[in-house]
Amino acid sequence: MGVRRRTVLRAAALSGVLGVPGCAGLQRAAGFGDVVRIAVSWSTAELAAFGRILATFGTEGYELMPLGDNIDAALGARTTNRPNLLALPQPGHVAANRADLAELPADLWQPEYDRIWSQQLPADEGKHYALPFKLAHGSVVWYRRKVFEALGLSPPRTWEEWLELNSAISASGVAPLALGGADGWMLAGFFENVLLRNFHRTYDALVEPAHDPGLWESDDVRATFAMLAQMWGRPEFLAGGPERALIHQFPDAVLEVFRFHRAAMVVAPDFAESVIRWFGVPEDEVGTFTFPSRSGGKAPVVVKGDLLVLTRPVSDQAIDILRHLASAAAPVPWIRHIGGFIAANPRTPREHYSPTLSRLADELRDREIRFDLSDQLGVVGGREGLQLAVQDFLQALGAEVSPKRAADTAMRHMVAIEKRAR
Amino acid sequence: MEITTKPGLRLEVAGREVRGGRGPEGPRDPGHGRLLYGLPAAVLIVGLLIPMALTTFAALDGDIPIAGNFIDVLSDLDALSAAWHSVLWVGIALVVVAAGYVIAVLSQVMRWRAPLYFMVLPFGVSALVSGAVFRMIFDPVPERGTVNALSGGSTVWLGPEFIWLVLALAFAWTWLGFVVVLFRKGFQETGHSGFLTEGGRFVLPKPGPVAAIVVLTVLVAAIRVFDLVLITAPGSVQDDVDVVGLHWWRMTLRSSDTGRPAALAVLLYVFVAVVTVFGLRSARRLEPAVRRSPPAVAPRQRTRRPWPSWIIGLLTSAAWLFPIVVLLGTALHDPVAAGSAGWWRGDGLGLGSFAAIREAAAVTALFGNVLLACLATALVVATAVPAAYLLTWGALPGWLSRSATTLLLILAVAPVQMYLGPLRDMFSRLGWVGSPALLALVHAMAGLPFAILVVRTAFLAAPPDLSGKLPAMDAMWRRGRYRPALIAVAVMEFILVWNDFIVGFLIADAGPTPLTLLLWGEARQFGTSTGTIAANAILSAVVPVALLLMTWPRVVAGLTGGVAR
Repeated sequence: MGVRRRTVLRAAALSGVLGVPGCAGLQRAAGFGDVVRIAVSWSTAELAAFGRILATFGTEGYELMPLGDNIDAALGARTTNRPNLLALPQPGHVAANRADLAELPADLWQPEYDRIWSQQLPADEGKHYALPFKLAHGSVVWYRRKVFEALGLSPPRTWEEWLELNSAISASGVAPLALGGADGWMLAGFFENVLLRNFHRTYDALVEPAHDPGLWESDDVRATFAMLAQMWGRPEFLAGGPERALIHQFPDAVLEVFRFHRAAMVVAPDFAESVIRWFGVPEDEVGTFTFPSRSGGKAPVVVKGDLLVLTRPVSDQAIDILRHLASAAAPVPWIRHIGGFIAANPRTPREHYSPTLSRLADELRDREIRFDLSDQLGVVGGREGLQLAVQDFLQALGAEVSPKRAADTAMRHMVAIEKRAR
Repeated sequence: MEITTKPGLRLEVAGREVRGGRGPEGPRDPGHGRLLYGLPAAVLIVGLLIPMALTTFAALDGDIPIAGNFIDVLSDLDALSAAWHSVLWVGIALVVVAAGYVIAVLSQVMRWRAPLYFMVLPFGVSALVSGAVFRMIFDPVPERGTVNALSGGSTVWLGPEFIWLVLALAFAWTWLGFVVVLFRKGFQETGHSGFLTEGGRFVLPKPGPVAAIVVLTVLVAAIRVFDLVLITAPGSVQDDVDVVGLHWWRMTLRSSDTGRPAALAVLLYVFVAVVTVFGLRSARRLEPAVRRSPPAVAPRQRTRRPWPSWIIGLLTSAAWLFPIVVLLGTALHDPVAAGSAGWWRGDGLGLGSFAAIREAAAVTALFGNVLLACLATALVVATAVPAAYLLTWGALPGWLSRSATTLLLILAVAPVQMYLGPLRDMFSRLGWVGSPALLALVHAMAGLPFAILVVRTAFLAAPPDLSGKLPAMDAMWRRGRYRPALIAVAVMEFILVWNDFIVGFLIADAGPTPLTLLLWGEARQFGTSTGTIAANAILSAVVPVALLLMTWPRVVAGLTGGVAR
């Protein structure tokens, strides 16, 4: 008995070690060979999508490393074995790590990039260090058409209409909203939208580097929190109630609407489409509308994006892969098969977008835009800053703290973090 | 042969009663050549001491000299909350040890064998993996979460109310088996094989000196908890379960100030050291007043086990295997099915999740792990054995071997936060090429002190050579009596390095991505990535678990200084 068990276990161990083919793996593991290491923050569907894009380049010569939210730590690494090519989710990382980055080949920067990126990625003596790869429309509300049709509702144009719509949906037994509160950026995105769509002067002032930290306690910010409380303050408005909304991550919130049907709407950037399609939701069940404002007017919308950077010392292979990724047709596999991708490259063919994404891409091109607030604020907009403040705000509402007191706490937190960061 | 134990010596990670050891004839070689045996270990240990000194200097170098950084840290409410959570972890560790003791006694009475294999199995699994499994089991989404599906309710297990329960269960799942088998070995060594009556009085069996190893290891593991919390708690709950080690990491991310994180690391170290001393003291109380010599081997009675024993054994085995079943069940669904429905559902079965992780460099990472763990293990064994030989038979002056042992113990419990920062800075300033060798070196430095202590204890405790001659260096492997210690050290080091997250995470640039880092990257969107997370977890767990299942009786024997029976 004992012998047999041991033999079986030993065989299992060996198959674990040797059952995977290839000497190349061992070579790469040992750090030999010229492999371009490509680090990305994407996971799941988006990771698979990027893998498809790389596969059109060839199957050898690169290694894809999903590093999650700590991708900037890999950029700070100083040895030659750090990633050669990174896809960064925030432009702030570029300036912070300029010394470690190699300049782009001169012909890759296109003049159209300047409209969105001139402030985020200014040229340094005529040279650029980061290539816009993917854009994201950050002012989208996604809804399930069947819920709206069953109740005879149409997408709201103003904030007031939206609140009325919520009450109607809630009365039918479905929660109007799903939130992904475990991902602070999702709640911060909600906040940014209310602020930008209603008080865009304060939004612009907060982006100015020299602003008074007391701006976080201004009437506009207070009004923004009060509006958030109108949306989040009633437990029956949120799928699973505020407690579970704080545990859900971004894709969970999307699934609450389109897969589990416990909610009718989710505020999420255009890349929610990749989750929706990954989980097999038919296109005709999906509707979107632009985040409503009080006036219903054409206020600016939020844009953000991912960038590609090369680290020093740069190799020819890494440049080859970057050139491939920069080409107009490169993102097509992502756009066609996974979705949720708006190409930064203005020459990428448009016919591959789904109807929804095509509309969102047009909106980004035609509308007045502002770059994502928290991505511009660094630490102040990050996990310990705005994201935490808005998470705590939601938690306080769930614990039936008065909206005014919850807002006071959040604003005090923002003033404090702003002062600490200076 | 009776040796009176000196208080200083008792600090060592003691194994069985110290017998034999320094031979009556003394060393054959009175020269200083033998000191060379300790040289490689000394080099590695200096490599550990320098960054620790740098951290201490950075901690003392505040606005107000010496105390400034400490005052800052101690007046930071978030840091204090993290410290309180670390204290809670000490409580969890003590509960785990107590529960392990009870289970060990019961298992002795019920004469379990098979259930022990199931209980030991999770010890080979990394903290990241066990955290991931328990997060899957307690997933708040009713369609995916096992517990919510079973209960029909929709409790927010991962919320602030219950997250501690989930964390404690994950920790207990990993450690209880280790505690149980070591306690059982202890009972065996002290000759207490179950309930006893002394003078008509009913007493509980005492595990003997092995209790020190158990208490110490579990306590230190609990205070060092890092990756378990990182992966199990959703982002919005992280602050409710923040611990000192994690808080330190967040401080280093938040600003470039090195003083305050250093002060926090020093405080963490002091805390670990204090707990170590108290842990060792209280563990000593578990030692029997009178030792039986020679240890009586429990008579194997060929009576039938009573049926309750079978049932309890089966239930325990099932409970311990359940997380593995969840992991396998999840991994054997394609990513979409695993992300949207429970592992028990029939649709979407297949190898899709494994195919997905193959695309994400998992195979390369697996090779990287093999290389890294083998390198680090080889380094540790090659340096620890001669050093332990020197400490045991090198006829060093008493003060020297005593202080060396104490130093090793102090280093063995040092948290990585004490030395990783300066090491990383040093590597980057030197521009050293990141390679598995470099990462293996760091691992070897971190694992060496504990390894030397284990090997030395085993050398001391092994039955003396009747001829009175000193064993030769090359006899360490050939002679069966020392072999379990070498196996124990090698297996422990291999598993530690294989399952490491924090060292690779904090020196991420020092080589290829280890499997645990890959798993962490996958876990960014946890609920909807469970398929690939589970596949990755299985890939990373197969090797260490198989190794542990093959070797654990010898590992236990080696750790306790005994001979495998």
